[in-house]
Parts: sequence; structure tokens; C-alpha cells
Amino acid sequence: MDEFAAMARAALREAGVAVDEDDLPLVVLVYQSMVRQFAALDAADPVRFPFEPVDPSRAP
Amino acid sequence: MTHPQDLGLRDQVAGIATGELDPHELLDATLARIGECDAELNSTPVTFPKESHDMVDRAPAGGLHGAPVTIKDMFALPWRGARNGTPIELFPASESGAFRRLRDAGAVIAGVANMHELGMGSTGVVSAYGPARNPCNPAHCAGGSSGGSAAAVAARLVAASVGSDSGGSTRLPASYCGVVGLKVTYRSLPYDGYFGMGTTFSAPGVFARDAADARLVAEALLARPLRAANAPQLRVGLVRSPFWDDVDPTVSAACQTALDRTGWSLRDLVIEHLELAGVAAMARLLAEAGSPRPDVLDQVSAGTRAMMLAAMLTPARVVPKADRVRAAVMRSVASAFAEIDLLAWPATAATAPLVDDPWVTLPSGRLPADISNVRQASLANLCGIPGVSVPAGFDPAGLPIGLQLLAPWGSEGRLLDAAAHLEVTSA
Repeated sequence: MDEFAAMARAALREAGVAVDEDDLPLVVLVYQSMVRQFAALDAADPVRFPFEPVDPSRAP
Repeated sequence: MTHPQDLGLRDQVAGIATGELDPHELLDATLARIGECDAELNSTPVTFPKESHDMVDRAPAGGLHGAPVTIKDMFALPWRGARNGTPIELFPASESGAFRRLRDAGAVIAGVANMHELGMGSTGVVSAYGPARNPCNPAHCAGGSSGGSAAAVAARLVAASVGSDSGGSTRLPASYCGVVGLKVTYRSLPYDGYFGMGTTFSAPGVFARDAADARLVAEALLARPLRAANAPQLRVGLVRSPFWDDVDPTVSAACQTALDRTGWSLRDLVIEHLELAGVAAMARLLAEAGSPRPDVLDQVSAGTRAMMLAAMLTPARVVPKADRVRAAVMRSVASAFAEIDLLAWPATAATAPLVDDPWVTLPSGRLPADISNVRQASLANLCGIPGVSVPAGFDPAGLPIGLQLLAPWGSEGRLLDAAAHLEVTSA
């Protein structure tokens, strides 16, 4: 938590946002949930998922 | 005597055309009903009688001539900027693309529809205006983020409303409130003055009491007639996992029964890469949401602020990975549509939860409604395809159940014909 909080504070300060300490526990909770799920994307084989331009306004 | 808002949209428009209904009197009756009936529902927190009457005076001939509708707080109007469910103006007053399309069809904007704060929730319980409540039982959510639109239509305050859908925000509240809710194809109308222009997931949506009324509004928004489909003979793919499996059994049974009565050719279908669609949608949506105006953060609830701040920390590496998955899923969905006409599954995994406890109990356990709602809805946003929620009965508590249908890009006409067929076969 402390390490993440320091990183979050620094990253958000760089983005021009001063974080209230009261907000941090909830931010950590949401972020950790996100990161757990992102592991599935990290594991996706780039050969199986080649780069293609994405245009959701029409069929690929 | 029948209140004019007990008439559907088609009857209102026809009544105005024949002179049986005066559009100023219709507007006054609509505003009076909102004033009398909306205190508990909180669906339409802002009205502007002068500007609405001015619209009546200037309404051109068109498919919606003289008909009062509401529009979500996500669209700028010439006299009011979009606030997106917050206390501050996020988009300045202007003629948004959706406003122009409605005005040019002769519609009259009667009020602004309540919405979940910044569109970041599917329950409608968090808003600067207070929660929007469900007309079937005001202790329950109207849904979100376009909950005010769904509730106003279900409560017969207006016959139609325009909302939006970035992760189910039209289809989910339509399901909760028992009305038709159509999400159109991504970027199928001008996005200026629309808060959803900042994401690759958002599309405007239409709420109406039935499919034919929804078609009238959709044709106005899309500025084109919608092609008819051979609705009795559609081929429909059912994606069982996860969209039918982790669903309240009452909901899945009602949706299956509704489909079984259609006479459609039903078959189970697997969409390749679907297991990664949800996380790809989440990564992309968070990255796109993670660039708020700094002053917005001070004006929103703690929960929304935490989500925004966490979104700002989305690791850059996952965005191109999400896009690669998105492209693959779009190809899989396009391939599926080569064999079938529609995809179908329950719009929401459970009926509307309580405003004070917006969680649902599913076979997988008890979880926030937002999680299962986004799971049921986000494939359409990830791919950009249109979708509709059609009423499919009620649970034992009298809360509505919605069946979701998805169609290929640009096939809104097929969806609404299918919805109309369902209305007939479910009656």
C-alpha cells in the first residue's frame, strides 16, 4: 500500500492532480482489482492477436 | 379523458398531424405530469418550458413533429450545457448533433433526463440530482447510466427519450424499467456536443414503450429510414457462457421462453476470444475515462473519483494489448454474423436491485450489479454493433426482465423488427 500510494501520488501529481489521502484506500482497491484482471491481457499471445486497426463504426 | 402521455409516440404524432392534439397543450400536459409524478422517480430533474414552447413554435414537419421527448444530461442543448450527472457544466451550451437530428424531425425537448454520475455506473443511484428510481417499485434502481430516460418512458411522463450507451447504459435501464432500449451503431450520427465523443465505446440510445415508437426516434436520430427484416424467420445465436449461465434462473427462463415463442431458428454459438472481451473492454474504457478535467474530480462522489483516479493510472502497456484483442473479437463477431442474424441473451443478469443495496445474487454469488451488467452489455460497445433490450416478462416481485438482441453494424432496422416480432409473440 505505501509503495503503491507513493507511486500513485507521484503519477497523479505529474498529471496535475493532487490526491486527497482519504481517497487513496479506495483508489488502491479499484486499481488492484484492475491489475489482477490485466494479467489476462499480458498473457495473450501477440501472434494469436496480431495488430489490426480498430474501427468500431463498421465491420472489420 | 385519456392523458396524452398515455398515448404512444405514434399516436401523439398522428394526433398532432390530424389536429386532434395541439402540440402546445401536449407539452403543457407533459410538463404538468412531470411536475406531478416525478418527485419520487427523479427521472427528469430539469425542464425549461419557455425553450420547449419555442421549439413547438419552430418545429418543422417531420416524423416527430410536435412530440415532446427528454434527452440525457450528456448532450448539449442550445440553452443548457451537458453536466453528465455532475453539478457542473462539462460541455458548453450548443446544438449537439443529437439535438439537431431531433429538432429537424420536429421533436420538442421537454426536459433533461437524470443519469448516473459521469456515466460511470449501471444503477443510476449516484447523481448530482439524486438517484433515479424504478417506476415499477421506487425502492429499486432505474438503472444506468441513462436511468432517467428509462424511468420517464416507463412512467409515461414522455413517450420517448434519448440516452446513450458506453457499456450498456441504454439496454440495462431499459431492461430494469420494462421498456425498449436501442443502442445504435458507434458513430452513426454526429457526435458533437455529446460527452460520449471522448470514447470509442459510446453511442446514443433510444427509449420508447414499444419497438415501433423506438423506430420513429431512431430514424430521426440516424436521419435515414431503417430497412425492414424478415422478422418471423431470423437465425439467432445464443452464447451460453457466460451470458446465459451466470444469470438469475427466473431471468434466463423468461428470456428463453420469449425466444422459444418467436419461431426463430435458435442455435448455441461460441464466439472465439470472448473470454478476453470483458477485460479488453475494461482496459480500453478505463484508459479513455482516465483524462478528466481536474475540476471534475472535486465535484463527484468518492466512489466515482476513485474510479477516475485509478483509471488515470491504467498502465499504458495494456491499451495496445486490449486493442489487439478487440480487433480479434470484432472479427469473431463478424464471422458469427455470417451464419446468424442476431445474437441473444438476457440484458441484465438479474432484475433491478434496491437503490440502497445495488447488488445482485447470481449462481456465481453476490456481487455489485455493475459487474454483471457490464459483463452482459459490453460486447456491443467493444465491437460498436447495435443492440436492443426488449421486455420479456416480470419476476415474481413484479420487476421487469429484458432480453437483449445484438445485430451487425448498421442493422438497427433488423433489431427493431425483431423486437416488434417479440412483442407480438410474447403477448
